[in-house]
Amino acid sequence: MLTSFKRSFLLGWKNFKNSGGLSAVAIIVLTATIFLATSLFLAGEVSESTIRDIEESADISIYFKITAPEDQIFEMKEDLREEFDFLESDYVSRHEALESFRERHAGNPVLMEALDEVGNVFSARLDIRAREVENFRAVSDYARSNYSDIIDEIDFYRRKEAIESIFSITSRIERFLMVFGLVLGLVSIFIVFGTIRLSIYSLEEEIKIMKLVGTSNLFIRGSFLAQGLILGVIASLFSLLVLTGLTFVLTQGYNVLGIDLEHHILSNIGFILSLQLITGIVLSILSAEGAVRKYLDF
Amino acid sequence: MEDVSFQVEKGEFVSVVGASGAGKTTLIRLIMREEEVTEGKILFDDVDISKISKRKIYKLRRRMGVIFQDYKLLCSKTVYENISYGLQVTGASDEEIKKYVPEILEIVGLTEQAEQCPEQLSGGEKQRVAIARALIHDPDVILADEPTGDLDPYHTKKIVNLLKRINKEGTTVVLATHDKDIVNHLSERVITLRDKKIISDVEKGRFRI
Repeated sequence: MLTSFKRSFLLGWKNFKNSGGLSAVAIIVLTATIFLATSLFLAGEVSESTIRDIEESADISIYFKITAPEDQIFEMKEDLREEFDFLESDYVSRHEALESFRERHAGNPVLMEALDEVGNVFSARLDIRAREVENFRAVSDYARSNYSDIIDEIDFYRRKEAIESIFSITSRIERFLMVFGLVLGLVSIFIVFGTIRLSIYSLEEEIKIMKLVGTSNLFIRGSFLAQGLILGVIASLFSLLVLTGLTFVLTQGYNVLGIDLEHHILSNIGFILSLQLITGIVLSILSAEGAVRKYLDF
Repeated sequence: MEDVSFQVEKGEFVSVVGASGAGKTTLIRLIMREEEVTEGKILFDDVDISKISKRKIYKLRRRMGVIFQDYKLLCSKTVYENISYGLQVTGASDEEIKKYVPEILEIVGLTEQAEQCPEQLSGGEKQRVAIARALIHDPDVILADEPTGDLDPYHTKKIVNLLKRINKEGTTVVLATHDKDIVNHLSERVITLRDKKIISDVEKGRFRI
């Protein structure tokens, strides 16, 4: 059994080599398809992780009017903590806000001079971490309805927009990748199908002879499926090479747009390799099986 | 073929003779089910071969060694690979292949040509490759369709002697030929065909058309 499998595979390898240029085209298209499937996965992963980061770091910043007395602010802070038990908050006084600004821009003498001229223009603020995006509105509405006299601005809608915009961009990218991937997937199925079909045509006479001298259908079929398998595996490996190469070139050790792509790839390398192998093998075996069924007279 | 009925016993040597177009090749093709019978039955060990599914027909063919008139060699393989292929498909081990292929190459006188491709060989050499491939897996029956058609007298004699020797060891041989000298030299059973019909079936017969 093992010997037959080995021989069938070797015959498939020979068919693969004899198909030359066509095998190369099939590998290129398969590689592109597998790469897209991987990108789809990575896009989802990266967007999820980015949104998670934003959510984790996201807080509602309530800016108070410059005239707002601190005791009222503390009262509000206490009230919010009682109303929303999940909530964590930090009070940043006008003075702390000024100092923090000075620290951040210490190297900018012009800015410092201007600041000295105008005095402390910063509002006191309450930074609130609300864990879930859904909680933002509840907290914000409660604060607005009860403490509108001391609140100058609530910085919440901008964050919401950022998250929504990431959602929207990611889903658009994902939709594009999915459609493009489906089209490319179909193209690669047809190309592998064509490659196997041509191999079958070119070996038509040999296949007849093989059958006459007692070769089983399974052996012949197996050789063409092996040819498909070889195309799929090589394309998967190429795809992994392209992915790692591109990641290295694009990131060069830095994060792109704050996203550590290298880390994402490395931490999911097992899954990515499996995804690529499965995509490549499923696509190529499906097409090879289709061609064998259609063109081998069994 | 029409009204053709005969039985070949295990270990028999039968020559099927007739002029071109008499039906010798068709008969061989029917026995190995390269062609389907439209009426009647062909029994192999009491099994009606037309009842064997297409998927399992290879089992029947592995029990036969067929020497084709047009050689039917695999052009992409060397002489050695063509011959070893006959063993490979039966699942023989690599060791067995390494042992038996050089032996048979020597018997058919093609040791020097082992690494050549069929297109580099003469007609006679191709025929000897086909013979070697048919014999290599030690089949129950040899079906030989004009196996000496392209051979010189020296190799013809050698191949006929080889077929006789194999037959003596118990392998059934069905030889389709129009070579009068071979048939008369063999002095075995002769079935004569004319216009796709059997006109005579004689034990220890001679060539007559």
